[in-house]
Amino acid sequence: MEPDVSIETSCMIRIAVLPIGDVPSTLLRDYHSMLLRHCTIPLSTISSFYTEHQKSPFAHQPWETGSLRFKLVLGGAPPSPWEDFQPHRKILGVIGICHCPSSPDLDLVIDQFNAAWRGYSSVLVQRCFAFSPGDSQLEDTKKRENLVLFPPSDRSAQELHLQTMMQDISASLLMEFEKWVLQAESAGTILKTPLDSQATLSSEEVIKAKKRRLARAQKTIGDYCLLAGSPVDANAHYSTALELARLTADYFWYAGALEGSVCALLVDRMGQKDIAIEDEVRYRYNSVIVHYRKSFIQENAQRVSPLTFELEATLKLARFLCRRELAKEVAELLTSAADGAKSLIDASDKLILFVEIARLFGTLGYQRKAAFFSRQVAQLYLQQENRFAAISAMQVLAMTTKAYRVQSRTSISNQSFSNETETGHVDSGKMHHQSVVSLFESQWSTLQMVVLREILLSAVRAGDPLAAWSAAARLLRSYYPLITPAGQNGLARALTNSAERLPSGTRCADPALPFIRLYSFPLHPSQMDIVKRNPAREDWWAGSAPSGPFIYTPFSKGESNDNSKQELIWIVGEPVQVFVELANPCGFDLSVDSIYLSVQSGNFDAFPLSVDLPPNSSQVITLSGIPTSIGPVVIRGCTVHCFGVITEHRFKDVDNLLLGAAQGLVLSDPFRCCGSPRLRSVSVPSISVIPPLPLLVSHVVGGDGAIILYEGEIRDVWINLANAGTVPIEQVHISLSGKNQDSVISIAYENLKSALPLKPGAEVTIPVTLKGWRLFLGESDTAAGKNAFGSMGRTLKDGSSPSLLIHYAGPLGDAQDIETNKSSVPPGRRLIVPLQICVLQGLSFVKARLLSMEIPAHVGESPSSLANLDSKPFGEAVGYSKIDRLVKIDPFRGSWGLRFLELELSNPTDVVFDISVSVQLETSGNEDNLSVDCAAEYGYPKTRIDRDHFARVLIPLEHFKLPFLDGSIFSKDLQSDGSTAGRNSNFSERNTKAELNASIKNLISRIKVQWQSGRNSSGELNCKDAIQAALQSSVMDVLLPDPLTFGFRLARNGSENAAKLDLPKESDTSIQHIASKNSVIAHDMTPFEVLVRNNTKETIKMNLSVTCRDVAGANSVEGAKATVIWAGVLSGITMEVPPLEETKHGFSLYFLVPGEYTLVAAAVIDDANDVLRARAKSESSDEPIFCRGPPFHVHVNGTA
Amino acid sequence: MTTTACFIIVSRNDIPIYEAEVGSAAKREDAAQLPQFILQAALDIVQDLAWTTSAMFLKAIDKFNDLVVSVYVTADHILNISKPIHFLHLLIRTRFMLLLDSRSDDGIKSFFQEVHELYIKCEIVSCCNGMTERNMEKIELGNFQRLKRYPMKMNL
Repeated sequence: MEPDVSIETSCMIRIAVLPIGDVPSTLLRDYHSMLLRHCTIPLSTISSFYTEHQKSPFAHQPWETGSLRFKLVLGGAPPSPWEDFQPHRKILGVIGICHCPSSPDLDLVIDQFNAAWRGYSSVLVQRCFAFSPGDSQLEDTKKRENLVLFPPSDRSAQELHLQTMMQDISASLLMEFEKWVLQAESAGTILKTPLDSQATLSSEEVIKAKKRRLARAQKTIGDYCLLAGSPVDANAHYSTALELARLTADYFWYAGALEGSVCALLVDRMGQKDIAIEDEVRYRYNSVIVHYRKSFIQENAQRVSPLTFELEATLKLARFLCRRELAKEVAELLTSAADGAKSLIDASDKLILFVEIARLFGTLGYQRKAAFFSRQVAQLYLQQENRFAAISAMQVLAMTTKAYRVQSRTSISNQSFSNETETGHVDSGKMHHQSVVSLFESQWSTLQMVVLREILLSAVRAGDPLAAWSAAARLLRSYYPLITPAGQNGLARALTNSAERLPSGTRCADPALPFIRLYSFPLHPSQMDIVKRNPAREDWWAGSAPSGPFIYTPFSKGESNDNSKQELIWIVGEPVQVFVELANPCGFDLSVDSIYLSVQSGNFDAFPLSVDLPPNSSQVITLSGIPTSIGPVVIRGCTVHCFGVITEHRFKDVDNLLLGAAQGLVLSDPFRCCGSPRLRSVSVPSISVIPPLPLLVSHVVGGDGAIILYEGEIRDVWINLANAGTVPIEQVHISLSGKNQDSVISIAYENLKSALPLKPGAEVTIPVTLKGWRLFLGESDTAAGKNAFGSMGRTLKDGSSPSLLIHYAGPLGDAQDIETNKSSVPPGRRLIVPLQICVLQGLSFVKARLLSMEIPAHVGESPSSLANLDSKPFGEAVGYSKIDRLVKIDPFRGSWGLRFLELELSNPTDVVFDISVSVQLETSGNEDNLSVDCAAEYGYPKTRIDRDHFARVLIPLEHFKLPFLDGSIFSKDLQSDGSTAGRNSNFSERNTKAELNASIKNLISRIKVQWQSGRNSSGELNCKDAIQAALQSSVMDVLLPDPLTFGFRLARNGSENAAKLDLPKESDTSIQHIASKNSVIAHDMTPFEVLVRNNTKETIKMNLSVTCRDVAGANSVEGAKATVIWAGVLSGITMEVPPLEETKHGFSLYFLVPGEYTLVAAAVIDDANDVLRARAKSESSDEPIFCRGPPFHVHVNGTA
Repeated sequence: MTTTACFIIVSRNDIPIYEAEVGSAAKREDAAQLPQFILQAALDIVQDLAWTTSAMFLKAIDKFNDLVVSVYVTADHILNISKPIHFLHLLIRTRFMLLLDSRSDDGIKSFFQEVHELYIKCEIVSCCNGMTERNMEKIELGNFQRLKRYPMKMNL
């Protein structure tokens, strides 16, 4: 069988085109293509070369319209045994092609050419075309037969030359045909085919052959007429031949003649599309097919069969009818042709048959059918165990990939490149359902896998590693769920093996593994936010987009923002990151040698990364790179170097795949089968790159870790700001955001201002003063349970720390430019410096209590150094016993009703705290000489609290008494009393209440509890509320003086000291102070003085009494427990004390027994007013108001 | 008697939704998928042929190496009137394709008619069970497994 046959093949003159000498293959192809243009030579053009030697047998030759047709066979063909039957199978002419520069010796060329054409016995005309001859060859004037030199000239001239030569050849052939026909008509030639018996002819056979001879001769003459371009002559001869052949039952030749007649009909009616002709052709060809079939002779079926002619005729008819409308008929013809294949003996015939069937089905538009037969062809090729067959198989299979939808990306991109560039970006996000379906329409996965496996096999055999790699990659990527782990490993090995044969850096259009999808496009980290700059405003950052920590704010909804297509701004020279997710759904370890972003726009430097993916795993990785120039950036996917080949993995493909998987159209979602959660598809935002901006980076001096503060701690931190960009910073502004903003006490903004403009690389350090905020109750509870680090993490996560917002910007740019185009102002940026403050619960305050204490005073001579004593620390100034010093109460000053504030503190942390309490005293210019700055006076030694311990701190509430008892203070109480409200109505209630509150506040604020821990943690304990709560109930007692205060002293030398015995105005407890260095001696009359002071603004009359007791216990001043040994009362002393003054009353005591005695003064106030009553909290007006002073101790020595 | 039979149901999107292979003939390794290849290729012929006839059973429309493809095409033109009945789109233009190495048209025809009945039942059952439209493309033809015995029966 011959390939590419058609009905018209019968009228084609076969000419072999042979390379003579050494002709480069590209040139040979070039020359051949030049020749191919002259395959049809009109008869009208050859008349000048034609000389009629004798009467032409072609009587009806159409010299005006007819033409000769050539079939050029490059490289020649072996002689066919059927040449006698069909002269168009004969090589009737030989054209040698010689490339002169590579074959300088023309004689040698002629020799070679002669040797070549003599191989073809049927050759009638032979020419050798020598192209590009050199000058010497042109000058060689030796006449050589059949050699035609084509002098070097331009292409058109050369083609003209060639055309002339072809016309010459045509004329020569025509003359040869005439000769042959004349000869054949006169002398009878015996024409035989392999079908005829090859054995010596029996007599019967000879007679039969003689009968048939005439028909065969007529048929052959008809064939030559056809070759000579004279269909009418041919038809006449065929008619005769048909008649004769039918008579002799020579079916085979009958069919041949019929075939020729159809060809003659078509050539005659060239260019006419007539239904009648078509029907005629169909009718005659069916007859041809039938007669070929009839000529089948059983006896020589093993040796030779007319089947090939039958099949060829079928194919010829199919080709003739091959139109969409006649698809059914053609398909039937082709099916029957294919059916004949199994009877074909020769494998190459089968191959040709299938090739032709596939081509015809393809022409018909039956791609699947074509693919099916192509695959059959490939299988036939693969049965031949050689490399060239494998290459052919591979190429044929590659053609089937489209029909089976397993195309290589290379072929797809070639076809649809133009489409994609036009529509690629318009609607890449949304894909119509229908088109998605069409993507996965053909789910013949079994077939697809078989085809790919065959491609892989043929490519391996053909030694085409790239094709093998591509097929294995497609197989693995698309069908991994259907392949066993062992098979997957095999494919991985195939990939690696193929890659070993490829030069490094080979690219392949078909991606293998891993699957890559876009995970997220991180917006700018908060350190690099870009803020649109409004040059018209001082606060240029205000109103521009990212103004808070939220990407979406409901308030900005009015602006036209299309959420589906977000925009991203990248900056030249600043690294950016993109998250992608890789999945390896296969059962082997996948090692990705390098992966980086594939950027189409070319203004991006991507940084490669290498990843190892374990079997059935997915991983999110960060790909980074640097934009290099201004303009849009288009990220199509990732470039991956895996299995030794570089491939591009597009995000869009995986998106489509996932979409298909979601609709159940694809086998499996590679990410889900790796355990990765379903992710909404992320679309690539439109990214634009803008010129460099300044870049401020910050770090906290001393480490960027959390700043750990205890509650209330105040500390400075230094924040270092550096310009890491390439543009100076010219504007800067700092503001605060987030929670707990008040914890930032101060920011040295001026430091930063003065450093402007901040050149690239310059840095500045600004101190920020922080104060640890109070933890809330719940917060502190949980914090207490955890250790420092645990609570640190929690605090940071809470986001309770404030942040510094630093808006900064570079130069505004050209002033003119700004005026013309406002949008050209380079944007500013925002740096968010989160102050990672972790507030730990420090010293915690448990409770406050008010304690009372009673320490009796000693009676002695009035000390002259009273004021001095007070101004010094107690223990230091006076050399009393150690116990006294520890108590820190001057025993001679005495203390009655002394009140202490007890603060109970706990330390749940694991550091040690030192507590120091200070009470600030008023430094007002009172006449009082006791009012000294407290720090020294009450600078109690520090109290240390160990970790996990409790401690109590006592704060004496001294010096807080009001100077005098005033009715105004009771206004509140009185009012509530009701009965006395009227009398006090003249007081401004509000004033007094405020005054009272102020004084309470004043009192509390003067108490400061400061702590220190370690070297640099210090702060103040905030316990004001607790103190206030503790004091609330008894604030009156603390603040208000008694109406009367009593004191005793020895009157021996009292006259000198009397003047100094003024009671301190702001005396805290009702102590009257009498120091005594001279002890009292028994059996001696001792003069005493009792001092009574009126603390009110009215004169008080009273009945004073002094009691003296000898008591056994030191502390049992009063009460039932006291064992009173002796007691005496001096009573009935009537006194009148003017307001705010004091009066003394002298008396003498004579002690008989030495020992400790106690003196107590008491008074019953006559005509007590309301103020006194209120102070005494008496309930009825009749009740006597009784005032009693503190007990005073008197130590009586013996006489000895 | 060695037989090869391959039965495929192809949806209107040319997606095979059911495959059953019955054959007692020893398969060559390289020709294991040949029946499927033949049936897939025959779709080209079916798509044209279905328009030329009103018959559902298209008899033997294609053959390759003694393997004959018989096709039964379900109705197509009901598409427009039956839009509201959403599962009907699955019933239309579904092709039952049978590949056999012997042909007895009557037996095949009755086989196809039975299959068609069964197929409609399966579809309706799966639709009534509340399958979503998306899932219906890939129906689990559990009931269809019993179809396997039909080709065998037919060849007896």
